[in-house]
Amino acid sequence: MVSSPSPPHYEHRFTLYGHTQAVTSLKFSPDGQYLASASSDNSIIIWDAILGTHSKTLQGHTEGVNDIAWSSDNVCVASASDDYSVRIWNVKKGTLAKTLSAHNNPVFCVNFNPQSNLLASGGFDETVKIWDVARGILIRSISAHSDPVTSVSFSHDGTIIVTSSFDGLARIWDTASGQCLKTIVEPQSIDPCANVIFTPNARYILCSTLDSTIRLWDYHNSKCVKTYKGHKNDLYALGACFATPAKNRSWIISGSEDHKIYLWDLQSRDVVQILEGHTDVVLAVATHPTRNIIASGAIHSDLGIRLWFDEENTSVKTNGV
Amino acid sequence: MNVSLLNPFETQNLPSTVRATLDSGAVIARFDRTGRFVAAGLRDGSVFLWDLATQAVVRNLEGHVRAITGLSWSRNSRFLLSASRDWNVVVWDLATKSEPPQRYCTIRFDAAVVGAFFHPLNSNIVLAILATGEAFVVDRRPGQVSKSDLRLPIAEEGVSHRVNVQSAAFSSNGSLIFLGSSDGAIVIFNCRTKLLVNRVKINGAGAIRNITSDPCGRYLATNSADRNIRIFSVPNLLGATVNSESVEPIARMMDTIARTRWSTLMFSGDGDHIFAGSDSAGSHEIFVWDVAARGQYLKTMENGKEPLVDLDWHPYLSDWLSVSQHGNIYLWGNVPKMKWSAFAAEFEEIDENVEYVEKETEFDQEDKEAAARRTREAEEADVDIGTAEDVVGPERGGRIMLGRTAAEESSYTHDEDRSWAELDSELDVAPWSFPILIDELEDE
Repeated sequence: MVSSPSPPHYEHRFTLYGHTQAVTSLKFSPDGQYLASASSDNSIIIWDAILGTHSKTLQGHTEGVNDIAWSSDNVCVASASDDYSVRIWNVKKGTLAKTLSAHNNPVFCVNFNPQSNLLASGGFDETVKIWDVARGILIRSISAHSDPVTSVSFSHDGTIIVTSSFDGLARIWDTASGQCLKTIVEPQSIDPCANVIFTPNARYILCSTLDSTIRLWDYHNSKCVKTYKGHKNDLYALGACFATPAKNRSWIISGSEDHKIYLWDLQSRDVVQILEGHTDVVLAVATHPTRNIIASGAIHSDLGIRLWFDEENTSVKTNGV
Repeated sequence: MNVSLLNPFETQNLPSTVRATLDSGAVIARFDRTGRFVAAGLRDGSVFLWDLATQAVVRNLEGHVRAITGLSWSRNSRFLLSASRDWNVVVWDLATKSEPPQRYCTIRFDAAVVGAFFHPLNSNIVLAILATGEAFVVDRRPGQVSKSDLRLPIAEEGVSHRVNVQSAAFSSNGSLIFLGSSDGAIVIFNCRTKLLVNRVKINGAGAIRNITSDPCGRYLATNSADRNIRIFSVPNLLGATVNSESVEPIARMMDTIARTRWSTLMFSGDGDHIFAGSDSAGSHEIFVWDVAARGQYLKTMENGKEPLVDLDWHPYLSDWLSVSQHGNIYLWGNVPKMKWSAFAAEFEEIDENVEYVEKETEFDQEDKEAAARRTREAEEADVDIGTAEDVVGPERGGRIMLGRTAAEESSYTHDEDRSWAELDSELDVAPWSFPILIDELEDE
């Protein structure tokens, strides 16, 4: 074991008001300049990631937006909505670029591949659909699960896709062929799987299940290598994410149904910080790609997106909207 | 990342079937160095760039008015070169977003260009062969701008001063240029000095229609008018006495029954195999031989009756493309077999029935506390989640980051040729990303 690193000190700095209903998803742009937020109020708002100022509002969906994703060139945002459609927006121009309709039920999750020539979406029709971004057409539809698909994401090289579902499974797929390569399930648990992402090197997957547990799986050997507990999660599809402020120093971050945000040390699995301030279930969390910033959003009664900073430099003090 | 989860027999075996067809009207097609794109050149001079993930045309490169005769990808796939019968070689920069794509530069010659190649290490150096049988090395680097005609030293007695070049190839590290002549000779030049290194005559070969070097720099293969494919060891060629006729190929292959003429010739990405297309009307056949086993015949693949005009091997997978005279690009590979066991975590595929033997402990109640402790201890071990930067591969985070390949590494020497070639090659090693152009809706 390496000596335990100094704990994080995230502090609340900004609260961003703009949405009129629950904030369902938050994503920083890959260049770290913008933060995109999706909401049940049908809109997507683009914020300045550092200053917290409002930049653009993207409107067009006719039902709530469940998930958003950035293309790697920072130009496009894709959104998945309850109106059964996936849309691609040009953020630079603030315009709608494509509407992708093939899902016959609410779409719950969406992600670009790193090359951003493909888009994957999953939803309540239990399929995962792969789209050609440039032409906006469906390339492949995979009957992936036997319950709604809750998350879909690509590995860093784009060759494999991981999906999670309310059927309690996480599955790994070959992007090129659409073939199922692996199924990961906790043998003792039948709880729905709420979210799954690859680690940055794509050697493991981080899987949140509705038994208030987050597990890190070595998917090659189907072996759970770390378990993170302490938060409460048995109803909502809460996402978890990684923060790596320094080499050999990583946190796992997740919202919780007790209105708090939990940070675990990747290696020791101890809770290293709890962020309090939200007044409702924290549904969405996101980490900045280069700086120590966490964005968080909650449902119903708490409509402010909060930005938390773990930085010495506190000279920037601007708040927006 | 997917390779470790795939069936190795499906990824390494020779292709068994045509997986997809790109209807492109092409006469020539080449995989890029990442295996993500296929560039297709047409008879009317257009060049289409296909994205294999979406099997769609992602760029239409309009720069020629006559048939495309050559396509070449730069070291990191950022630049694409097209050669045409309209006397021009055009270089395209694929990192630019302009639509329609603008040419990065144009190199003009005094005759139809029948083939052109990027230097393997530097896209500023281009080798071109013309319909007149001349070969030129063009250097576009600031301070070295030149167009050198490769010709034999004047002092040679009894030999024409110019080689009538039919085919050409760079060695894998680019230090040597191999020319195949109409009189059946392999002429080797040094790329930096443009001086003759050696000239070897092949007995009874006739005009050398194709010449190709393997990715590791060990072998050179020729396809000549006598319908034989010969594989030579490069050191043997270099070591032979000038104008000697005694260099024996390490392997010599031909179709003894049909006496097929070969239309094209290519080594596999790892240099272990060599394959050729038959140049016969009414068949689309590809022959494969094992290089390590001294040219042992492996198999013939057939696909319909459209005559074959071009072939290429995927840079690292065991996949091929073949181009038919009707303009179809066939993508060959192995169709993955459905792996049903992947759908359930506890399933395992077995070849035959196995009698299940119950374990002694199978129904034992495990002490809960002990089990919990064991899990806890098992989870103590550190994991490395790393960053995408730690992982090597042709692409990560959407950026193409082709470093040196293992083959290049093996032929790496810190010699003068190499440092000369790597001068001003920053754009050929820097990571870049291919912009995705969305044809946007005007409004809903």
